[in-house]
Amino acid sequence: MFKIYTNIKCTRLSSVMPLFFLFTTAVVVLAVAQEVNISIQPNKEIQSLLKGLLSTNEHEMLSGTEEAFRGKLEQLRKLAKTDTEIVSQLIYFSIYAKGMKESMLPGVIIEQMKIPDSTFAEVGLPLLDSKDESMRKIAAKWLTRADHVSKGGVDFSRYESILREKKDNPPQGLIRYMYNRNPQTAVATVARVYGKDVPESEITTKAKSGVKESVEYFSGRSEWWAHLYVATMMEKEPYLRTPELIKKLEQDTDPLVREKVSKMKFNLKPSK
Amino acid sequence: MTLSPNPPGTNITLQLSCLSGSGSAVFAPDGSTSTNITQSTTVKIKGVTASSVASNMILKAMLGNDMFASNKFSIVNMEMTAYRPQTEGPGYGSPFQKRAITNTLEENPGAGIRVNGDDDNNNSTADSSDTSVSGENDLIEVELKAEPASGIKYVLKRSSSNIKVWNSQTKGTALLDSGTEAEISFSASTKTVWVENPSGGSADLEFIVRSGETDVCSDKVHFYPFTSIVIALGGETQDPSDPSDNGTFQLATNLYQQGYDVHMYDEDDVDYGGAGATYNEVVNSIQHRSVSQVAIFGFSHGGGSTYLLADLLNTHRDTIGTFTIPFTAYIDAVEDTFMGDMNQEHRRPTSSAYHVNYYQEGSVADGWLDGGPIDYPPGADYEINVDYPTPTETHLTIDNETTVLDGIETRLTPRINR
Repeated sequence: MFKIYTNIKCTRLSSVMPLFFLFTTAVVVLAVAQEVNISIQPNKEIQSLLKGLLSTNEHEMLSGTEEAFRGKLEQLRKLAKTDTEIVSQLIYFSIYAKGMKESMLPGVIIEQMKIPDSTFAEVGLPLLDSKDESMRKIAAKWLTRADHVSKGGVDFSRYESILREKKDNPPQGLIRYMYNRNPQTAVATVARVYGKDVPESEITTKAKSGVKESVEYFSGRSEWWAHLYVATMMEKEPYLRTPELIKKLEQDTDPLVREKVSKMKFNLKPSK
Repeated sequence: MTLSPNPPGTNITLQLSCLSGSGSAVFAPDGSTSTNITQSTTVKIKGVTASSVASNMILKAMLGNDMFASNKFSIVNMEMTAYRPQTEGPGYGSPFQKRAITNTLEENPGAGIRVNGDDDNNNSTADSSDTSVSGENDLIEVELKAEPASGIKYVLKRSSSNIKVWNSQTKGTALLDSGTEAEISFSASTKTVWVENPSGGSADLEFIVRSGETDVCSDKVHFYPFTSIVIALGGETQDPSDPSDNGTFQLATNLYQQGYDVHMYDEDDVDYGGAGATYNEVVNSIQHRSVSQVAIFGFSHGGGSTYLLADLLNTHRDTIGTFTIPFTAYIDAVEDTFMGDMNQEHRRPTSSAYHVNYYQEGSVADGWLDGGPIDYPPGADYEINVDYPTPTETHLTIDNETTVLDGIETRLTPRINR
């Protein structure tokens, strides 16, 4: 079962902004807009069935014969009723997985049951705004199934539609995910939605240029989505970090930019 | 003491004893503390336990009950032991435990040391230019053993200025910075010093016991700068540890003990785009520690991450600096481009000069998890399906298979300089 408790607590950035500015240097992980209490509730019967699939023999992963395994998968389908519920339960299972067998089991089941990758978008996207950071992280990992392209790269077209629908209230979790997943595709996608009079081809070309050249270009722009690209690249490529760039990004009021800059500043402090 | 009994045949008794404190010696080879000579003879004395204070041993020449000649001496116990580097530290155990370099390896190949051009304390200054570095993990620990601690002259001597010796892991006071040697004082029988390689080049460090102008005995360690980095990536939930139950990390530890700069990682430390802590370590080593060769091997998703890491390094090659990837290896590699990726990894790591690929054929027993042949150009340089013609391994056993681990090691070592 998959529950979204949007009525419990929903922290809006606008209400915490004054405090936010006061404590940016002290707080590493910052609350950003639209975080909600959201979690996956375990179905005990399904979780038990999943555990039961594993062999107790340390050299084997699955117990029993192939026929028995497929019978158990049928049982799983009946218990869960929908692909969405199967995926939710597999994500839950993966959070608490111990050892290689448990960690790899969800992938094996997904392959064998041929669950469409789009299901992972359905389940994972709401979790990106969870208040629970570990839930956000695991959701981000599973969401990669929904946007990977088999020949390489990512397909963010699904996310672009969501951004357009929520243009006035940018979904922070999704934007954070897109930049972390693939900053080059993210900045081009986000620029198409939020950019004003932005030359699309130039953005795409610059995003695909060398790391230094792209960072130089986007740091010279004024938009938050350009600065978020720079902050992400500095996060991924630490040698790009300079005090000058960090100082420049600090001027940006976008919460995601500030979140990344704050993390970087923390990491730049002497470690002991 | 030179004795020439005259007339020849006169019986002279030589005795060894300790005057104060502790210490013992015997005549070699018979092991006694007393021996007789009747003519001019060279006798050998073997120290058994070190002198607790200097000059507390005496060799006496007796004619009957009368001592007519004597000589005081010390029994010195000295040794220099270097350790393998801290990784990822500071401190040992993260994950490699503290391991001494054996006497058989201390001069050849010697002790590997990282060129200290990185910035462990994040102060925007290369650590080699700092005099104190919090978080420093690139200095090599060397233990000096000296008995007796006082009354004997102990010297540290370097063969070149490529190394410096400090009194602390975080540098602190330089014990050997200018000149080629420095006298070392001991307040106890052991002293720990830390060796730094500021900017590359090799050098010998010698620990010497000196009497007057004569070097009585010495111990030497050869220090060579690492010019390569070896990355080992485990499979899902295989956390780096030393010792480890996982073959990938056992191989890594074996290479570490052979003097390679090995870094073990969880495959999650390589993200789906190849970035992350592992990539940062490699880039840092190339840009700041004079590393020019990168070797990567991994098991299962760690094999998939091997591909991702090599690919990102190659993509950013122009920005990163000059390096090659002379060796890569997969053990039953599974793609790791998205969560729960179960695809066989068929891609040869980008720009790998030599690629080894071991795989088995999956079945229900291992959830059909397996690697496969390299078919994305130009194939592997050495490839074995361990299940052909007879199925013998599963995905859960292949990484502990001795022939697989040995096969990787024997192909890596000739291709990667330390």
